[in-house]
Amino acid sequence: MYELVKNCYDANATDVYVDFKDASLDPINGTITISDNGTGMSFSDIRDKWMVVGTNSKRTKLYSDPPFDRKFVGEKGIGRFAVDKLGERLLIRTKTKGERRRLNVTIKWDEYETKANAPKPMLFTEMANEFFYEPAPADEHGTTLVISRLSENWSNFDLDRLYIELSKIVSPFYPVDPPFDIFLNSNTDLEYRNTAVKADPVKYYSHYGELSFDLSTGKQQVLKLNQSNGKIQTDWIDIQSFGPIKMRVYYFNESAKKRYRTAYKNDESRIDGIKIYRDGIITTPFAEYEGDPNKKRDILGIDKRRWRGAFDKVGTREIIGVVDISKQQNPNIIDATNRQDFIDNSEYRRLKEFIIEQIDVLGELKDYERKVKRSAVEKELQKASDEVKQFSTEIRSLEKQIVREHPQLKGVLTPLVDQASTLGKTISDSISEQKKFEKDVVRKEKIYLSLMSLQDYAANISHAVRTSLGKIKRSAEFFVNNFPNPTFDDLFKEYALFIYGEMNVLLKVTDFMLSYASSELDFEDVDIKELIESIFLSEYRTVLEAENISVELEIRDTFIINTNKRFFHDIFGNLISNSIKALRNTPNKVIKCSGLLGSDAFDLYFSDNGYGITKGDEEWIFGLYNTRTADKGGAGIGLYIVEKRIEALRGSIEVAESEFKPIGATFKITFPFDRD
Amino acid sequence: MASFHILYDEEDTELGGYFEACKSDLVRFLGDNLAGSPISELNASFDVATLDAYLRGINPHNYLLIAYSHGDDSSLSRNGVRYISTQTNASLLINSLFYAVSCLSANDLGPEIIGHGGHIFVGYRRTFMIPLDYQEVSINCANSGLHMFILGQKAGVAFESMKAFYTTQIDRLMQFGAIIAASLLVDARESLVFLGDADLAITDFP
Amino acid sequence: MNLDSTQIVVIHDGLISTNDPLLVELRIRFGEQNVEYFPSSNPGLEYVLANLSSKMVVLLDVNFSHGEKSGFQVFEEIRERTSLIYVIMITANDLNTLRTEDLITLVNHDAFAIESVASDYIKIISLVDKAAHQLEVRVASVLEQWINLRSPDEQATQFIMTSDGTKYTLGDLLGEIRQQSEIGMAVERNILVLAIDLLTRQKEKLNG
Repeated sequence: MYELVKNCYDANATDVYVDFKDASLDPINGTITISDNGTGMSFSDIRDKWMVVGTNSKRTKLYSDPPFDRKFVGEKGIGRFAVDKLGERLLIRTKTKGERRRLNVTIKWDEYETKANAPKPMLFTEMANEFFYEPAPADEHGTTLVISRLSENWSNFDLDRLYIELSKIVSPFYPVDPPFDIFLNSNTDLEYRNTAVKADPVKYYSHYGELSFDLSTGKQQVLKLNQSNGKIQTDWIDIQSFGPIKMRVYYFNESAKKRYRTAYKNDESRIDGIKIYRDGIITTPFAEYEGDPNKKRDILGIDKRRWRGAFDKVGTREIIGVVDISKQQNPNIIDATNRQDFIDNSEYRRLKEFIIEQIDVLGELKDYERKVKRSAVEKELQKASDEVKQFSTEIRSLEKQIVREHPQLKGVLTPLVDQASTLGKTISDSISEQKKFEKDVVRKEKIYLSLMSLQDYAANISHAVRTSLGKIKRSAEFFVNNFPNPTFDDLFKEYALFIYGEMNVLLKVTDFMLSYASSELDFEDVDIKELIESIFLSEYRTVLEAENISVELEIRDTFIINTNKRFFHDIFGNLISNSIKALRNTPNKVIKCSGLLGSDAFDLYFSDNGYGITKGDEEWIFGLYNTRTADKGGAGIGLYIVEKRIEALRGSIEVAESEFKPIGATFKITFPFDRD
Repeated sequence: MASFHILYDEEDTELGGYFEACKSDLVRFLGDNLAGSPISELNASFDVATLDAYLRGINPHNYLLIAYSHGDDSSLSRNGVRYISTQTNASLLINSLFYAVSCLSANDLGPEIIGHGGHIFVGYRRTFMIPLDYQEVSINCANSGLHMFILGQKAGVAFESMKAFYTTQIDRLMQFGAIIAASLLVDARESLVFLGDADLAITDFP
Repeated sequence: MNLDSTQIVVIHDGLISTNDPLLVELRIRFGEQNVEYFPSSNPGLEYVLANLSSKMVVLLDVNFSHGEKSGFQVFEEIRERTSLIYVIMITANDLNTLRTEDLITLVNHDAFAIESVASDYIKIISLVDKAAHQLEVRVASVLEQWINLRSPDEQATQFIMTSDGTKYTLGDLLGEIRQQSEIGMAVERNILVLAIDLLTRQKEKLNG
């Protein structure tokens, strides 16, 4: 339906009437009528264009005839198919201006199916269609499609969905001229009585920003956050490379989302991010209907970058926004012919950046509100403390008065007073503790979690799993093809063991991969020195003692990071396992771990005095399944996991010169600090 | 006695040696088998600008013209200069038996000459490659048709004999294991073309 | 190494070391000494380029570790030197994720086949069989073998002169045949014509 209405726009219509008759309960007897006042079609237009499958969907021109000059939004060659999907029968009534006759063409898709499946099938283009002409006023123009024998019923819910999608075609804030008005009618749904399809005004939002431009000064507005009062304001910069734009964005914080959910009965799909309109009409990348909000394409990359700094960045499910561009002012923002995106040029890239910059201001707002909340709590505490102090002082003076006059009350009053002042002191103490915690001498840094993008994740997992499965499968295939055969007994044993081992590896790999998919990644404040010490001195202590490995820990400075503990356990656990293998034949086994805090990063050195890393292997060892210790049970995933975990924390690992030169190995791990 | 006119360019940088060797073989054969017949050797010093006049001088009567030369579909050339071509003087070869050991000339030049009254044209319709270890074999094959004609066979029969000679040489090379060389001869043999009157013999060229 | 037999070179880092069932079965099928295995791409490529004279079928992985050439790079480098080695790509990637330009390279440079690493090894081996057979019957390969059997002196002697005067040694011709240049292909065609000529005349003898 959406496609057909888009076609009406392309045909220069100003009005489109969409009428549903008896479509809800009895679709076989229902009809859908789409009627427009566009240019209409001639007989050859229908036969040679509308009916013909567009093998090349490039149009010969990009814009409709003047004065409309509309950039085509519909996809060429789709009209036929859209109609076919909706119903078995179609009546086209159409007329161009100046013609004295109206053309009526009847098409029966069900009959074509039969004929196409006949022993000697007819081509669609060979079939004779029924058509006739009737007289009509010369200045009438437009096309009406009457679709009957509907393939599905249209419930009220379906009509609501249709209304919402159609309302997105025309820009809600910067409408199109000449206008394009859509009217929806149904004889069974009372809500739609030639109802004009208009976008709902945006309600329940918590914050709002609006940008425009001034051509006379050559300036573009941008959003900024007023840090003193938390209000969103605007500023002026030069008009950017992509040209001047207008933009409106509505932000829904948590409480706003709650209100929204209540009002729209838990349908949050309307909060669907930013859409770009050109000269009042939706641009093609945003014009594709996708009902499943999880599958909606994030064309501007708003959510993608969200992974990289999870907490304060605002995503598409929290905003409604419209960016308005025009053909004239923004000529370099061009719809790609694959209809999925815009052409990737520098202007478009800058536009995306710009949009994200505005959204980031909302992110700052989010952060501001959080801080305000925190300081509100502080204020409450302070107030409580002041009040308790005041209460203590007054109680004391009261006590003195009363005890002077009634000495027998001393035993009762004094403990109460003491309790009040203890309480007062406790509250004061905790307030100053909290303040101290904030201004701690120990640096509190945040290491943000950057998860690998979903595509990398999928590619990684599929490659790893397929390789593993290939090996297991070939081993099993060998059995199938060759068992029993005494010549191969040794191989059979080897493969059997291998299959078992590889299944375990596969489990580990998939667990590792799935840990990224889990939506709860726990973040907590962790003291690095304590963490490393606990790993070496409690978690791995038994193992290290059993192997006679002495441990040297030199974490001179420490700092607190807000991160995921498990990742660090994975990193050190794997490095220690590796070292244990490397130290197998070393007489005086040592593992050393030292850490240095710089101004920009934290550097960790992890070393052992084992047999070291072969020259040339320094990069290879991090590859998945690469192992030189297969005979000792190495599966080649340990260092792969180590590297991936470290990368997830935006760090890096490399082989450094061994601290125990000429033997042994040293890894240098660097965690840069996030300076935002 | 039949008159023989041989055009060749011994100074050609690439194939001069080959051309000269072909000419020498023919002259020697004539000396052994048709002594006394007039032979005009038109070598590198012959000014091809005078060729047209030369041809007019000889073409009132039947004559034999042999060219060992570079060529293409429609012409023969020496040092980049076309001296016989469909565009210019093909008609002057009226009354000739013309044998061109050159690439491609059987395609357009041959038919053009026959069309203008040439009696016989024998040539090649492709380019050819020469096996360097077996150059004499290649030369023998190239001249074998003429040899047969000189010995009295009619033109058509001499042509078939030439092809048969190629075949015996191919088999001989195969016996030596010279496969690639043999394949080059096959290519040359398949490239040969006979145009014109098959019934003429050397006696028709007094 | 026997010049007559076909070499199978497996350059792949997703196998269970040298005892992978695929390698075991390849050795049974083609002979122990005719199967070479390289778990990393650079040494594998070196080996192939050093042994261009052999009839060779290469099973090539697409992904290798950091710092090593990718399967596509290896394939291109082989093709720069010869068209007479058949290359079968074996990949653990989802075929949908291969870049279009890489697929274009494979098609345009005549990759023999592309197969998933999770396929039955029987299927992979039958592809190798097909490729090996092609090598046997492809005239250019036969020529290559024949030239290789000549002594180094023979190979360095000037052998053919074309009508434009260029001279080629057998060694030169070998290169031209591998590159499938015009003259390479002309020689190939001539051999076929010769073969047909001989056969037809044999036939005549038999009939006559």
